[in-house]
Amino acid sequence: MTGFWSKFIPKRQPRLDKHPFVLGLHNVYVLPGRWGISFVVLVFLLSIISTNYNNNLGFLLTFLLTVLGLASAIHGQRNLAGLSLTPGKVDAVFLGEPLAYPLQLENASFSARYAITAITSNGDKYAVAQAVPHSITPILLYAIPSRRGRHSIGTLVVESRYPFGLFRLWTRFTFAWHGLVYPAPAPDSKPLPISSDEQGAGAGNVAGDDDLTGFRRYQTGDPIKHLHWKSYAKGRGLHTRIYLQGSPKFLWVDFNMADEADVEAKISRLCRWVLDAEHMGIDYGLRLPGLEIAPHRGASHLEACLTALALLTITR
Amino acid sequence: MNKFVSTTRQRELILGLGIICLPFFLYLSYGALFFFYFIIGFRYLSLSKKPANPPRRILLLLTIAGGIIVWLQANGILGKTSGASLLLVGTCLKFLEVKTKRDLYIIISLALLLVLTQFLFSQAIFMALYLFFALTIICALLLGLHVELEVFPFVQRLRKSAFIIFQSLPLALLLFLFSPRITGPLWSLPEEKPALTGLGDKLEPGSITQLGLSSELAFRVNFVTAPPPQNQLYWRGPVFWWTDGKHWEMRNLPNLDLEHAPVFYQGTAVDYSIVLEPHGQKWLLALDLPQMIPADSHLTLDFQLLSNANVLNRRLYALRSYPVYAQKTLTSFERRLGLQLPANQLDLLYPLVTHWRVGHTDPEVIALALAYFRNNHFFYTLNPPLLLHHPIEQFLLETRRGFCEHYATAFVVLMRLAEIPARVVTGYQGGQWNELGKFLEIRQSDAHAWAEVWLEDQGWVRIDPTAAIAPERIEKPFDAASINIESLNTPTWQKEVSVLWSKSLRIFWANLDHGWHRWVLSYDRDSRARLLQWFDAAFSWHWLLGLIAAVLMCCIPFLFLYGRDFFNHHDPVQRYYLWYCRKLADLGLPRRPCEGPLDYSQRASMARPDLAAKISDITRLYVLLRYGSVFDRNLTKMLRFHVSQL
Repeated sequence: MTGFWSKFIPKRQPRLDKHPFVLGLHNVYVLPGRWGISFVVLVFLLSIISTNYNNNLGFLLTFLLTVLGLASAIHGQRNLAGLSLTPGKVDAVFLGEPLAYPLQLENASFSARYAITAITSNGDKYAVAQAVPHSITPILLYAIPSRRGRHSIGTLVVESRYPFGLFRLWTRFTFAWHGLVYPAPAPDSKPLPISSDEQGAGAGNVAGDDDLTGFRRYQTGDPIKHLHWKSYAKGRGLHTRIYLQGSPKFLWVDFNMADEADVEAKISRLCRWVLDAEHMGIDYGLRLPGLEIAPHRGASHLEACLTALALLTITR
Repeated sequence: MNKFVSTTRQRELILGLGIICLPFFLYLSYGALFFFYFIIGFRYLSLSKKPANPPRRILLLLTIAGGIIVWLQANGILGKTSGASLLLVGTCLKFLEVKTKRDLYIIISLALLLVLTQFLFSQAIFMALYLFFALTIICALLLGLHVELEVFPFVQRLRKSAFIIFQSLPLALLLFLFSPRITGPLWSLPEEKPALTGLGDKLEPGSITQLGLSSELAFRVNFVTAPPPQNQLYWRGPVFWWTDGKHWEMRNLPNLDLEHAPVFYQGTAVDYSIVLEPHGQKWLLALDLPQMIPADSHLTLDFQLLSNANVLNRRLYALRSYPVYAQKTLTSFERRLGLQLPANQLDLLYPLVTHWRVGHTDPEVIALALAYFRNNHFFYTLNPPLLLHHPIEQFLLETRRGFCEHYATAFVVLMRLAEIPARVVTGYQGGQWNELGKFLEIRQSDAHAWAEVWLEDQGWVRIDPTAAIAPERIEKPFDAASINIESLNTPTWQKEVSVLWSKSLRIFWANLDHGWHRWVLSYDRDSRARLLQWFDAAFSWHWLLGLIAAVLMCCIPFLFLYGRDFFNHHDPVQRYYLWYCRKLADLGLPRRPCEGPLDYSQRASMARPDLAAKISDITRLYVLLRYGSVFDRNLTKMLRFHVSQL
C-alpha cells in the first residue's frame, strides 16, 4: 500500500470469508493524488489570470475544469463500482517456487472498465488495461513464500486512476485466501529408507547406483544426480533414472529416520523420500510426531503426505 | 526511456497541441509560432529515432534562440503577446525533454494555460466554441495518459471527454454565476493599446484626403426609456479647444461637480446602457448631458465623460442623460479658450465676418454663417482635397469640399472671429437600430464632428454645420455596409462578403454578438450582486439553493450507479429480440408465452418458409448473445441489422 494518504487510513480491514467482494460506494476510497493536487494549483492559477484580466471565458474555463475534476472522481468511482473480485483456487507449490493466486475480476455490466491495477502487500502491481463487458478477467498474483506451511497473500489493494488521474481510487480487502507451501525437497539424494518387514525401522536396504530400473520424465523434486543428461543433450527432454533394489511391499518414511540435525532439513529430507517413493511406485507411509499416515500410493496420498509435512509443527 | 512515455502517446500530444495552438495565428506574430510548429514537427518525426531527446547543449541553444525570437517579435518580455509567445516556446521545448509521466502532465498543464492565453486576445463567440473544442481534446489526451491506447482509441476518448464536459457544464455555469468575484486587475498590467480606429485625441482636418470609414463596431446601446429621435443622437467624445489653424487640441478642464453643477437639467431623462468596445483612451461616449455616471468616471467642465483608467477591455456602463439642459455661467477660462484664434492666418476671413457682425445678434450671426455654407456650393465628400497652408481659409474660400470635421472646425473659427465662444466636439452621430434585439449599434463610420457655441441665457448650444450641407447625413445614418464598399482600403474579399451578407443576417449576427457581450462577457461582480439581489427578492434563495443541492446530492450517486439500468432497463440484445417478436407478431405469428426462442423460430419458419433463413440467423445470434458467454458489440449490431431487415 503506497501513497501519502495511507498514513491516515486505518489498516484494519475485515477478513472477507464471503466472496465475491463487490466494489461499490461503501468500500472504495477516493482521494486526490499528486497530479490532482497540482491540478488544483493549476486551476487556481487560471482563476487568478482570469480575475486579473477580467476574462469571462477564462472564468468559464476555470470553472469547467473545477467541475470536470470533481466529475472525474464520480466517473472513476463508476469505473470501479459493480466489479466483483473472487479468489480462485491456489495450487500448492514447493518452497522456493512462486505461488500463483488467481484473482477473478468479473465485470457483469454493459460497460467496459479501464485501467485497474491490483497491488499485493509486497508492492507488486498487476495491471488490467480493460475489463470488457460481461467478462471475467483472471489476474495471477504471484508471491514467493519464505516458509513452508500455509501462506496467505495478505491484504490486497485494487486501485485505478481512471479517467484523468486526478484521483486515486482504491479499495483494500483481505480474503481468507491461502496457498499451501510444501517443504523444499532435499536437493541431494540419500537412499530411501526401505525396510522389508513391517517393523523394520532404520534397517532399510540401500538403493545402489547400478540398479537401474528405468527412466521417467523429470518431476519436481527429483535429485539432480539422477538426471539422465545424455538424453537431455540429445534434445529428448529431461529424464530421471529410477533405481530400485529388491521389491519391498511398502516403506515407512519416519521422522526419526532422517539424521539431519535441523528440523527443517529433516522435513526436507522426508519430503524428498516421499516424492522418490511415489515416483518409484512404492507404497509408503508417513510417520511424524503425533501423526501417522498409513502406507499407500497415488496423487491424493502424496498430497496428504506433503500437506502433513507442510503443516508439521514441532514443539519443544 | 520510460515505457509509459511511449512514442504513440507523445505523438498524440504533439498533434493535439498543434491543433489547439492554431488560433494563435490570428493574434501572434509568426516568429514564435513558426518556432513552435517547427520544433514539435521535428519532435514528431524524430520520436522513432534513438535517442529521442537531444543533448543538453542543443536544448540550451534552442532555448536561447526561442528567447531571442520572442524578444524581437514581441518588443520586450512583458505583456500578453510576449507572454503567450514565451509560453509557446517553452511548451515546444518541453517536448524535447520528455522523460517521465510527470513531463506529460506538465505539457497538459501548459496546454490549458495556452487555451486561457488565447482568451486574453479574443472573447468572441467562436472562441467559446473553441473552448469546448480544445478542452475536449485536452481531456482526451489526459485520459490517454491513464488507459492503454490500444483498448481506448482516440476517437472513443474524444467522445468520452465530450460526455464528461457536457455533464460538467451545468454546475460550471452555476459556479460562473454565483461564485464570488474579485474585480481585477490584481496587479497592474502592462498596457497594450489596441491599434484601433476610433476617435483621435488630435484633430487635423486639412491633412486627411480620404476618410477611412471602417464598419468596425464602436459601441452598442440599450435604451431603458424610449430612445430619442435619430437626429438627437449625438454621442459626445473628445472636445477640442485650442488651434493653430491646422491642428486642434484638447484642454484639460476641471471636473464638473454633479451635485453643485451650474447646469440645469430639464425635460425627460433618457436611461440607457452602453457596451463600449475597447479603444485604449479614457473617454466614455455619452448622450448630452449625463446626470448619473459610473462610479469610476468623472465629467469634465466641457461635458466629456472620462473613465479613470484607459478603456482596454470591453466595458458595460449605465447612464442617465437629459437631452435638454442649460448652463448659466461661462468661466473666464472657458471664454478665453472659446475665443482663441491662430495668429496671422485668417486675414481673408475678417471682412466676411465683420460684415455679418454688424447689427446682428449672436443667433442671427449663426444663421448667416450656416446660410453661407448652404448658399456657396459647399459639398460634403469623404475624399476632400489636401489643404496644406491656411487650411481654414482655403476650405472656406476655395475648395469648399470636405467632411464633418472641415465644417465643424471652419464654423468654430468663424464664430470665434465673430466673438462668439465656440468649440469643436467629436463623437458619433446616430447609429443603426437593431429591431431584433432592440438596441442601437454605432460603428466607426458613424464618427462625427460638430460645433458648440456659447449663447447668453442658453449656455452651450450644439450647432451641426454638416447638417446644413448634407442633412441626410444626420437624419438618416449611412449604411455601414455601403460605405464599406466605397472605401478603398478595405480588402476586396471583405467588400464582397459585405455585399453578399444579407441585411437581416447581419442584424441577426449583430444581435447575437451584442447578447454575448452584454450578458456573458460583461458579467462581473456587480452583475452577480444584482442576480443575487433578484434571487433574494424572488425567493428565499438560501433555502432554494439548499434544497436544490440536497436533491442533487441525493440523486447524483443513484443516477450514476443505477441510471444506466434505470433508463435502459432492457439490454440491447433483449430489446432487438423483442423488436423481432413484434415484427413477427405483425406478420400474424405472435410468440406464445410458453415458447422458447428456438421453438418459436421453428414454428415461424414453418409458417413463413420465405423468412426462414433470416429467422434462423436472428435466433442463432440471439441465443449466442443471450445465453452464450460472448459479448460483442459487433454481434449486437449485426443482430439489430438482421432484425431491421426482417
